[in-house]
Amino acid sequence: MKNKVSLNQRKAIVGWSFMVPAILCLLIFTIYPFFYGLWNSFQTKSGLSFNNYAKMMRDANLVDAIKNMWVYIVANVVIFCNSFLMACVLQQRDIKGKGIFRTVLFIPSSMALIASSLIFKLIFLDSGLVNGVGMALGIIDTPFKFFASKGWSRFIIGLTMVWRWSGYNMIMFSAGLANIDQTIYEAAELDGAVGWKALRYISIPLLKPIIVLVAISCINGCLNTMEEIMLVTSGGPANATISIGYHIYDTAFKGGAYFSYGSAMSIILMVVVVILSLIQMKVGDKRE
Amino acid sequence: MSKKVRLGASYLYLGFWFVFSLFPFVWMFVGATNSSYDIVRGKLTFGNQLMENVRWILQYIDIWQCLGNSVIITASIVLLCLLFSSIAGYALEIYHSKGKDRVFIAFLCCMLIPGLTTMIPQYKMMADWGLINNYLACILPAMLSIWHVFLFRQSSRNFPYDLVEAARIDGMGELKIFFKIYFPIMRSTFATGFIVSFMGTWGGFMWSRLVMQKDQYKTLPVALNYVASITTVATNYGAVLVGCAICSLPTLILFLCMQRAFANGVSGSVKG
Repeated sequence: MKNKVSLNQRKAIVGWSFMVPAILCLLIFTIYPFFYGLWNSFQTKSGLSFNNYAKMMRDANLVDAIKNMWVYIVANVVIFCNSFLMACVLQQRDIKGKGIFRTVLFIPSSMALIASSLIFKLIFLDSGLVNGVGMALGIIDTPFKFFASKGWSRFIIGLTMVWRWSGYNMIMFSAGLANIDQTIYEAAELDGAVGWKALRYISIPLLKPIIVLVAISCINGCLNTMEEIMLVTSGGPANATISIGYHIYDTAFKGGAYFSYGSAMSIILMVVVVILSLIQMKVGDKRE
Repeated sequence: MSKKVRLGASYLYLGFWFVFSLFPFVWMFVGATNSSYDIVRGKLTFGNQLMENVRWILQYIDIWQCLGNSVIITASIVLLCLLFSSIAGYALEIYHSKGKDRVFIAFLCCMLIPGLTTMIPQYKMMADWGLINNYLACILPAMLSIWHVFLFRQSSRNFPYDLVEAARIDGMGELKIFFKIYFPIMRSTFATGFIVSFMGTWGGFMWSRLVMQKDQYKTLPVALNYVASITTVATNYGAVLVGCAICSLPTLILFLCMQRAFANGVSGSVKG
């Protein structure tokens, strides 16, 4: 008896010791920085105060970033719908060459973010591909300045994001659809549920966990997009494409390096992300 | 909707995305071998300017050095991340206990913290520790991925526990069981973890840009960004596209070779 207890204890010790590296990493590089950032966000010249949080109300760039959110919401809705549609279309039994389509549609996501962003920048630059081809064909005489136009800059950022992320989410949806038992569809077909009806009453309810997962990642995309913006437009022209994430990064690391103000904004960002994710999960649960 | 219309619409849609997905990609590889003049005029056949473009890049950055930096950082992160996450996921399932479940829930909660929230304090930490321009600054914060812990925990459910018991009776040490029995059997999960980690790490840009400031420590994406910023003045598109191609090739090749493992990883994260 005594021997058995000590064996169990030994197992417990070994089990916990296997988790030590993971727990340490998490403590040092996630939890500690989080509290450090929180503490930092209250630091101002006049001691600890809420000044950094109050400052957000007067931050014109932040207001621009919030106003620009519709651009990223539209882009992410397009990504969401498009990837879902791709997965559904590819799921049809009588489509040929599924493997090739799936591989090619995923290729954009396998590229480094910097490469895809730079390529789209080069395509639309003043001396880039679109203008080059347009002038060679004689459609336009002088290069069209895409990045001087607010509308076009927004469109190009959106296009870059859609190009890059559609395939990635498609793989998620495809995996989910593949997990649905085919016999459910066959049974439903006998009851007359085909096409749109099958999608509405079988695929969508059964896919709910994945839909929630992708939706959360899309929400994060709306708030946190940074790399594409930094590489393609640098937030311009006149703040037309800055996102909240990009603005925080810019505040914290560029020029003035306002760490504590950046920290304050990033804490608020976290609160928003957590609330939105919780709502998503709740909604996902209820419809079950 | 008749069958013909449905099929026609499906192929049209897929065809459009097929071309749209592939075009910028092909343009990159073809452009890497052409001169700027031809690239912007939409020439879509391979040219003979590849060496010329590479030489242009080499004037500004030491591409081999940057490639080396990227390889060192990515290899370390992938290796450590796989080791730490797999052993934690293994312990969570094989040495299951209530306390570990609570720790795991804490792990999942940490997943909700946006990267940006920890990035600013992390930078300060690295600066305080004097790790700016040090490989460790890139490696340390990425050593653990909660996603990977999750992956290994989920897959360990299918691992036959009897094998562990049997090995214990044979007097095998606990660590040895992990490396000699668990690792070979779970190879496909490790493959999945490997490709996901690699694809996430290789192109990493924002963080490496912050902590690797000196030229000789720049990773490939950071150096490429530098080349691109010069190029807006000097306009050598071929050179930038060569850089993009070099940056994309490793992940592309890996994806094409390990597509199955990657899809498994994604569906694994979905099932959980």
